[in-house]
Amino acid sequence: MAKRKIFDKGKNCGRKGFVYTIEVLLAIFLVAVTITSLFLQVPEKPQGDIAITKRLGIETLEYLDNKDVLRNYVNSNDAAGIERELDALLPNRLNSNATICERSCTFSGLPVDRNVIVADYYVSGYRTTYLGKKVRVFMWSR
Amino acid sequence: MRNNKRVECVGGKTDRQEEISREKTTDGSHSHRRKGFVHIDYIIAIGVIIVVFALSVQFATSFFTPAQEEAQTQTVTANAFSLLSMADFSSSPRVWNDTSLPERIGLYTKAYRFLILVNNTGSSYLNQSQSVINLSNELVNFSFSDLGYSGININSTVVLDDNNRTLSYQISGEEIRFAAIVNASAQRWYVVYFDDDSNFTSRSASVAVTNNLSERIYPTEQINIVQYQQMNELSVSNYTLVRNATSNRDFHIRLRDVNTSANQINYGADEPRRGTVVALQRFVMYQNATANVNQGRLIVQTW
Repeated sequence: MAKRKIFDKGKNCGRKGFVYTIEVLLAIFLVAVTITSLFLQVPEKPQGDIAITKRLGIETLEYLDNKDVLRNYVNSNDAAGIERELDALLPNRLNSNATICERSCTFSGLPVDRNVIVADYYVSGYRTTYLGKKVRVFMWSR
Repeated sequence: MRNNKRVECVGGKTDRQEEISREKTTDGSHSHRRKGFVHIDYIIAIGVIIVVFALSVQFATSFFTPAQEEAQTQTVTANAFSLLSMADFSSSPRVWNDTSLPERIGLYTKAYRFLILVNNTGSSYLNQSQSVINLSNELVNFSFSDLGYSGININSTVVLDDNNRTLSYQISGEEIRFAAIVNASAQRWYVVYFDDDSNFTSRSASVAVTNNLSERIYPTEQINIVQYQQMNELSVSNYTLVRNATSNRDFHIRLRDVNTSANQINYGADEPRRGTVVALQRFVMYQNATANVNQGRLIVQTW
């Protein structure tokens, strides 16, 4: 008597639910991976403190100029004097250094592992003396 | 004989399952034990969906919550920066009051400064035959019109010696005269401040002087200061109206003298005990009630 197989699928009839479950699990896995990759990284905080620090440096130099001390330091090439003034005026969270230069400013001793913010202030003269110099201030977080 | 068996798909079961279920008709306990087995895959799927949903909500919350807080902090910080710029701009419009409110708060004005050198050495004497002596009331005078300035508020003139002491002076038209004290063979520096847009009362006082020396006046320089008149206008205004007209956010402004810590401006609402409050400060030169130019610390808080 010939085999009578009503099916091929007769053998796989009982596996329907298994395939469906696999499909659902696969879909859920794909959705989970997508959502995880989208939301895992919290958006990066904007670096507003850099702009704040730069503005602080420029306003402090302008204040020293209005106070009539900055040009005297520049005339005497006294960068250390400017640094002392800055230490008293800038917030404690900041370290600073200053240099007086004409065209190219070089300064060593800056930290290499953090952001350093630079502010320039140009000084044309002091009383009857033409100077043509600039004060460059370097600021970074402690 | 199994090969001759007819295989039918009965409810999707295999041959073995069919035999078992046929056995069930004779032994009922088997059928009760296996009934829930066919639904276990759906239960697992639903459980996984619930877990994934919970994780998704958690990730989304941790993503959006700091972003929202950061956005609010940035908004408040921008408002604080805008207020701090009041030392860089005049108010707009320049003249305002509670019925004609400003669009922007400002306190800035220009002032001017120049130096005078009094050198008590032989070469400076008007009479070269005169010997060098201590001078206690040497005449120092200058005219704003001779310096090229017109429209000066002459009452805003302030004269300081090199010890930062304010000296009295006499006004005669556009001319200012004061007395300098200079020892023999010494020199002294005097600083003169003035502006062209204030309204101070006269402080002229007569001075008894003798003129023995010629003095040197150095070029005038411009400085940025916080103006007394605008400080006054702000201090007497209605805070609620000004707040609603400018930023619609609460704020507090203080201008504190660097040396005396006295508040020159203390204006605005009280800071809240909780919430996002941004405070910024900067150093400025400000003009007081007697036109003296002093060092100040401008502090703004906004929330």
